[in-house]
Amino acid sequence: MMENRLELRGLTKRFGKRIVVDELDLDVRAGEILGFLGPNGAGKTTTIKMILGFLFEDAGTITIDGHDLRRDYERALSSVGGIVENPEMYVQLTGRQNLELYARLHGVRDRARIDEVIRLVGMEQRINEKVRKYSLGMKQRTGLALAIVHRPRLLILDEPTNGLDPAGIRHLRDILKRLAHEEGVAILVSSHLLSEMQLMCDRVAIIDQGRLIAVRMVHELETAQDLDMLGAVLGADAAAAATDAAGGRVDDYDRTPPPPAPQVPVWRIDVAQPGQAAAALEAAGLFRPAAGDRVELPRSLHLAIEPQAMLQVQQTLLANGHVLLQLRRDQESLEEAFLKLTANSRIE
Amino acid sequence: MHKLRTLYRNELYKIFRTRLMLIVVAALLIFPLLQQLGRRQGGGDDLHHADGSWNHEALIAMYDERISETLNFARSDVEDPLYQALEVAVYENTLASYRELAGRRPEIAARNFALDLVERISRLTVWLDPEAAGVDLPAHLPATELIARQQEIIPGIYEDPTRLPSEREAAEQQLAQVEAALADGSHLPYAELMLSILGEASAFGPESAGFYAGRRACYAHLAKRADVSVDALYDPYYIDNTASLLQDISDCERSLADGIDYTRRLPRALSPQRESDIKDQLAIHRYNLDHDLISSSYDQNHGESAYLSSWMLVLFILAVYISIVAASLISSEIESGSIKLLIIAPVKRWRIYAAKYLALITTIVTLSLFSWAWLQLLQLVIHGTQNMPVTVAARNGSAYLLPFVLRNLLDTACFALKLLFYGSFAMMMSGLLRRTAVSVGIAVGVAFLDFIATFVSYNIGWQYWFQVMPFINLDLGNHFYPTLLYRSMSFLGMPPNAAYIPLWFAVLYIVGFLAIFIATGLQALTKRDI
Repeated sequence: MMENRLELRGLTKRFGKRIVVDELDLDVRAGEILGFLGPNGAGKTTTIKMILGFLFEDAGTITIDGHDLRRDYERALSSVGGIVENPEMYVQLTGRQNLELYARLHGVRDRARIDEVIRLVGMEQRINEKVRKYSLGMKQRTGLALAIVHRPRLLILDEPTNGLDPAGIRHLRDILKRLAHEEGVAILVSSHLLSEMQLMCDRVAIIDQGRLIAVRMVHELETAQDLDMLGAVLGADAAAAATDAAGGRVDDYDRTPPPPAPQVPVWRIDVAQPGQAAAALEAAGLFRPAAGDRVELPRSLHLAIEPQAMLQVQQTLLANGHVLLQLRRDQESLEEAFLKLTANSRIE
Repeated sequence: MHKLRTLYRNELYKIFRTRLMLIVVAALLIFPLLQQLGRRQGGGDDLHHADGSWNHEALIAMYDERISETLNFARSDVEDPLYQALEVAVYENTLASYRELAGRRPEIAARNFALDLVERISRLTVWLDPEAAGVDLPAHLPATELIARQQEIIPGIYEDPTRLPSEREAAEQQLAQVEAALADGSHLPYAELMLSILGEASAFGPESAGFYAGRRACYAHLAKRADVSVDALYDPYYIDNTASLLQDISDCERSLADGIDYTRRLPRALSPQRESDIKDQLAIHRYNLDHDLISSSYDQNHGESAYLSSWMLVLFILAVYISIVAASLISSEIESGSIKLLIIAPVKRWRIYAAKYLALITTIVTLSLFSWAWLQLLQLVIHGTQNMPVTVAARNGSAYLLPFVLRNLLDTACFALKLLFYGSFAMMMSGLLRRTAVSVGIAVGVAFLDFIATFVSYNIGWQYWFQVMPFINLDLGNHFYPTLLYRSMSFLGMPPNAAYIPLWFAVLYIVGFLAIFIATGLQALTKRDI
């Protein structure tokens, strides 16, 4: 593969007695998007803040594009762009003024480049308004423009989809993919939106309680074998713990449905009117509402039904005038893999 | 370097393009303007018409009030019942005759000396015949015993009671002379007359002896001069200021002759440093006296006093404003998160700090110069060139005149230094606490305390420990000339005792504290997590 744009070696950070990041080793390579996954309090933001110079590490080294952060601070940071937590700017200045200020600090005086990134993030209409008037999504877009205006070789984004609408998220994903795969930028993205990570990242680094647990290619992580392998890494009782933990913590991941009970397979049924469809299935006795294993989304139903009843399900739906747009068995998602891996964590 | 410049410009932009700055600039423009316009209208003491001539009605009202105050004092604060009855009678009598005089001859009644005469005659009347003056005395107390009691209460009030009738006649004669002198329009006979009256005035008792001695010296001085204007002579401020100037000269001369410092509250042995200070002071006093640079009540409205009052206002506005700005320079960025923009950029944190500090200095210098220019303009336009106040400074025992504009520039520099001190302290607190509300509160509080401490330091200046407290020794200019602060204290009736610590110490002190403030603030920003 290509060279490492970011190398963390033995990175450690303590807040008082609590170790927040514990001997973390991590590489981000040119041309890849690395997802940085972990539950709240796992140390993701702390790590990012150390890389970007907010926090002083207690031990370990940070090397950015070949420059040691502590020994060659300004040169190291000159090849980084980033957003930490929410993108913060001077609210009394306009988006463009913020952008110009930041660009000048990077030695970029090229107006054409500034206009280019404004267009890239879709902020042409509002860029001359004061940031005070921006919504979170607009700040995210402007923040992204800031982060890339100086053509960084390493891009670090902490929860960049926060506050973006679905179209904005898709747009961001496209921009990041192009930057990484076409321009060779190394990108580190942390996020709670796991489904997004699945769509966006090439590799995923999983961090829990300050320790790096695994680094995998995204497609590897989706396979059962890999999960078993990781389960073995984590210890024998990780799977049992996962079941308990999952119920209590789904609130943290409110964009995705809660995982269904594992015994009966779950089916995803895409229909135009999921509510009426569910009622029809219920009337046919194929599905009992008391079971609690029903999830209804605007365009789809997620039902736990025995496989042998599926033919009857299709017939019932067609008889009731529902066009079956898609029917497939729900795969165990990255979500579940993630929860299993970090099952024994607490939010501190 | 371009990074520092970019950061610096950003800081300046943030400071200058705010509503707060707009408010401060408006305040700096409007308040001194209103103040000076008010003074031009004869505001303040109301003793002058707009054209500078005396406002007799106001003068009469002023004296009327003074006598009433004295009467109230006699009623409430004099403990001995007999003495109280006498004093009340004296001042009731004075008030009545004074009002009569004011009705008959306002231009005389308004004048200082006329009041003295009226009071004197009244006192004589009462003492000579208390019952006729309506004093409600205990019935069994004969007049001779009354006088004996008076002498007990005020020793030496009259050496020889038999002289009293002639005293009264003399006083009545003097009043006639005064009126004649006034009709004549000449002030020299008047001054001589006052001298002769006051020559006897020490008989009034020890508590007034000092006052009358000062007055006497003053009139003795004025009687010798032909160039003193008539108005000045009738001007209570001018007379009082001349009297205190003469007193200062006498104190300095005595100090140098005896080797004891009499110019402070508590006399003490004269150090070589202090000796040269007193020589300089003496030179300044003599220069003021010889060139008649003595503040009159006209100056109260149009000259130095007017100028100083505006400067005190400006100092107050700017001290509070600079404290607020500096105390939020770092903390507000951390609170709002906007510092992230700078931290993520490839700039070391000391550059961020340096840019902020430079912007603070620029703000202080700009606003100080702005205030300076505006106040010069106001003085020129509202009060005219002839009212530009001057200051006399001295070096090695010889006095020289500091021109108005130059002196005010020096004042501005001293003033800016004080603001820089406040600002550096506030910025340190901002970096240490990282909470704007708290650091602004502390910084403004400290600036306010410093105002009070400055007053205290001028008054207990001989206490060395007080001199080494932060903020106290900032008036470096005092080592070279009487600064703004020094002159203000004089005007407020607190004769300054500053500049008795060596110059090298003051400089070291200021540099030292500034270094501590800057270094602590820098450490707080660069060595801590954000």
